[in-house]
Amino acid sequence: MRLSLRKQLLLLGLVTLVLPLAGWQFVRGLEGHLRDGQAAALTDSAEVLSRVIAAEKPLLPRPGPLFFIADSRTPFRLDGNDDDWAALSGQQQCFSSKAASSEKPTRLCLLLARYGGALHLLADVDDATPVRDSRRGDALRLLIDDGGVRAYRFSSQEGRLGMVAEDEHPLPAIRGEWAERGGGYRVELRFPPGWQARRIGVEALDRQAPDANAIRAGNDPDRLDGLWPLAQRDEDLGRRIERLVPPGLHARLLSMDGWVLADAGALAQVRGGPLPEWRRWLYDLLVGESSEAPPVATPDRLLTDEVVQVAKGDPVASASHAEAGLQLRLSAVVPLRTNDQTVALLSVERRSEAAHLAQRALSGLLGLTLLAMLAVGGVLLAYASWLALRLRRLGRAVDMAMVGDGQRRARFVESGSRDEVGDLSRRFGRLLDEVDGYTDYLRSLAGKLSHELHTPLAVVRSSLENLEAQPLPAEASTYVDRARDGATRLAAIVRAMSEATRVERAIAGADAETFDLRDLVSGCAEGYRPLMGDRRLELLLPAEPMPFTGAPELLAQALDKLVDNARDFCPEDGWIAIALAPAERGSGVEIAVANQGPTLNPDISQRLFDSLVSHRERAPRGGDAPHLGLGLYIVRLVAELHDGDVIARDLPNGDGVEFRLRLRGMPVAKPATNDGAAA
Amino acid sequence: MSRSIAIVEDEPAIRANFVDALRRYGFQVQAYADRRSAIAGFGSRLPDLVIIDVGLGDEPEGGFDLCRELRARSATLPILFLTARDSDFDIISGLRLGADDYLTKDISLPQLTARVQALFRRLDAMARGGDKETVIDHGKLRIELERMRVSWNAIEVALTVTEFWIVHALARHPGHVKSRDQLMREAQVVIDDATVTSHVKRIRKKFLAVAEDFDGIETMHGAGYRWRPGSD
Repeated sequence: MRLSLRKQLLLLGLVTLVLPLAGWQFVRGLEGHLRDGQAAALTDSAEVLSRVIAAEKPLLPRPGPLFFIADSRTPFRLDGNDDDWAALSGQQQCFSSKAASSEKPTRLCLLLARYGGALHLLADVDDATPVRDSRRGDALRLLIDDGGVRAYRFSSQEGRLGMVAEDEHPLPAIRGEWAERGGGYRVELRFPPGWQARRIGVEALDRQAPDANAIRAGNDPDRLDGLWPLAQRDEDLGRRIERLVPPGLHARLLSMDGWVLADAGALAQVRGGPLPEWRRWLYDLLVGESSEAPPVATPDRLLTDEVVQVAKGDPVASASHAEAGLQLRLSAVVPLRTNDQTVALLSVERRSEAAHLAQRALSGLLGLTLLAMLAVGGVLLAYASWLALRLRRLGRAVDMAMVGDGQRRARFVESGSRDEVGDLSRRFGRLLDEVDGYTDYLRSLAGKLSHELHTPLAVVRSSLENLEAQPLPAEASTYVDRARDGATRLAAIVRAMSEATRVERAIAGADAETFDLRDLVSGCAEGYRPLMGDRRLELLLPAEPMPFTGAPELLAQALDKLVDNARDFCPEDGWIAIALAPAERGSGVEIAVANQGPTLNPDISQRLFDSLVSHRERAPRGGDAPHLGLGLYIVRLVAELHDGDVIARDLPNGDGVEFRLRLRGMPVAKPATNDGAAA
Repeated sequence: MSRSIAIVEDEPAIRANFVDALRRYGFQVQAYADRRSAIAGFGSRLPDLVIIDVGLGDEPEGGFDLCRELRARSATLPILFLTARDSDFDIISGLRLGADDYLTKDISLPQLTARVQALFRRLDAMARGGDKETVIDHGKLRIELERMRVSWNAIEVALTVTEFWIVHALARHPGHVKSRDQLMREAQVVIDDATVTSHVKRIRKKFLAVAEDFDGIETMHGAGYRWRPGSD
């Protein structure tokens, strides 16, 4: 996988994540300690408070189950419907029949509330087998202790509520309604205002089931004293406790099963107020600790885990809850004891300031870190881009320098910077200089060699010619022939070796003239036809003559080389195409020579036009002609003379190769000062 | 009386081979290895023809100096230049040494001999005077075959032997295209296409020097050259 420098540095930049991570861990730990400390302090306060309250000897219901009378803010309609009780449904107390023999578990649910001084009761009974009869039908039995225990029986009397006192007591002014509902019935009662009852018990009697199956609520039949006390919030006790509670603390005195018997104090708003929305969002996103509020207990009953724990006997329980706006609410529950007996529970709550500050710090840290990371990321990205740019520039410069040869290539500009990239650039510069020197040497080597070989070759040839003039035995002349063949081939090689030098010289002395390029190309093409064998030669020429300023002989020579090259790689029955057209882009003209055949070797295609580079390892056409890799180099020299260039590329369909010679024209001849015409 | 030829060549094997070959053709041949010995040898009497190598021993262009000295002594002495580098052609041409031809050393002996004989024929023709001259006239061009003289519009154009043969090959059949191969054969040289091109270029320059509007030699791209038909 190729990972760019920029991506690498970005990945490295991720290492900076370690910092906020460490900070986060630290703040979390700090916050934990703070929270623990605060919880401990709160627990202490709660214990002190519980002792103080116990010392006040408040009037408390006996420990044990009780019926809680809620305060209703709305009046009740006596109709047996529970819709006006909906606000209190959380306080509903439900009971099942003790004997579970009946096929369907049935329930009795009770709600007690006080409105305008009058006690209201709603009993909701499951009864799948209704029997409605005032004497022998299903009935609700109510036991009331208001000095002595009395029992009343309520039943349906032709759709109305019928009430009978079991012990012939006068009926109190209880009013009520019996209402049928699917699978059961409801009884709604209102007791007269001011009527005081200390304890009650309720039984639902089902005529279709044995009496033992009656559902009993707050009424233990095995004990005479089994009725449950009635309890309600004691405003007076609340005011007394409020005096003992330090500000900012919310204390609630609870019965053992969580009913709020007294409520004092209120939570203080933490300084600074809630956090702005975005920081909260960020905190939630990054810390993942959603600030969900704990399930709000009904105002009259607190049944949190802590309450349950302490009710079961734990000496203390505490918890903390995140609240909206990154506030932290700490709560502690302790038992309230009188005479070493737990008679009630005390729940104390407080908003934490320090822990809250830690959370604020954490969210601030997260925000700052995010900003810092963005900044670091940006800086790293910019730095990486800059570095990558320098390296790319260096790479491009090297490429440019590699494309040309020593004389004509773009000069490699060494970097002046003093860092490693600069060093690298300078080393590249030195390397390229050495390569240049080597290339120059190689190029001149061919010329020098050919020059040095001229003289011995001349010796060999003239000697052979002299030898032929001598009378020779027949077998000897065979060897002379072979020697002469060898010398001829050697001469061809020597000539080929100096070809580039000769063309360079011809280019140096070339004079521009204006001529019709179309004529030249078509003339040359006609000249190639006899050499093509079975190959097809296609010619694409513009309709109009194409005047061009340049050196026609050299252009024809370049075209020769291109066609020669194309012929070498074109299969016997393939095709070669020559096209002349105005350049697609910019000014000038383009001559393209394409041939069917193998595609270019990508390793070498960049350097195809360099001196002494040959791609002929597998040239199909053998032969004696030496290949020194000068042909395409000459093409390039000619192209450069005409302010143009030459490229080689595979044909789009992969069918062959195309060489494209782009020419812009030669500057018009300088005044002729160097002619030897008058020799 | 046989003609005398002097060869000034520092490479002993080539010198000896050339000497042998020319002697076989019946010439008297004197061989010198450097400029000093050649000058000493020419002291009393000039040979009929001189073949000079450009590079002589430790004098890379000693041949040029020698040529100048000889030309100073005789305007008509045929001088042939030999060189290992065909790049010297332009130098020789540019120095206006008045050489009658310049050849690379890998020229074959028959080709060398053909030039020598042609130059001697020209000497003979000059000595004989204007009779028996074969002349080709085409417009402003006039070619005197025996004297190897070419003139344009009655002004002589100084051509080397090789150049003369090329012009002759072209102008003999105006309008006929001569390929480079054909020109090489006609001009009795072993040269490549590019050298034919540079020869033609030099010929054009020489004609242009006497007539600015000269365009007698037409390049047929891909085919060769031809003498423009009807040019005058």
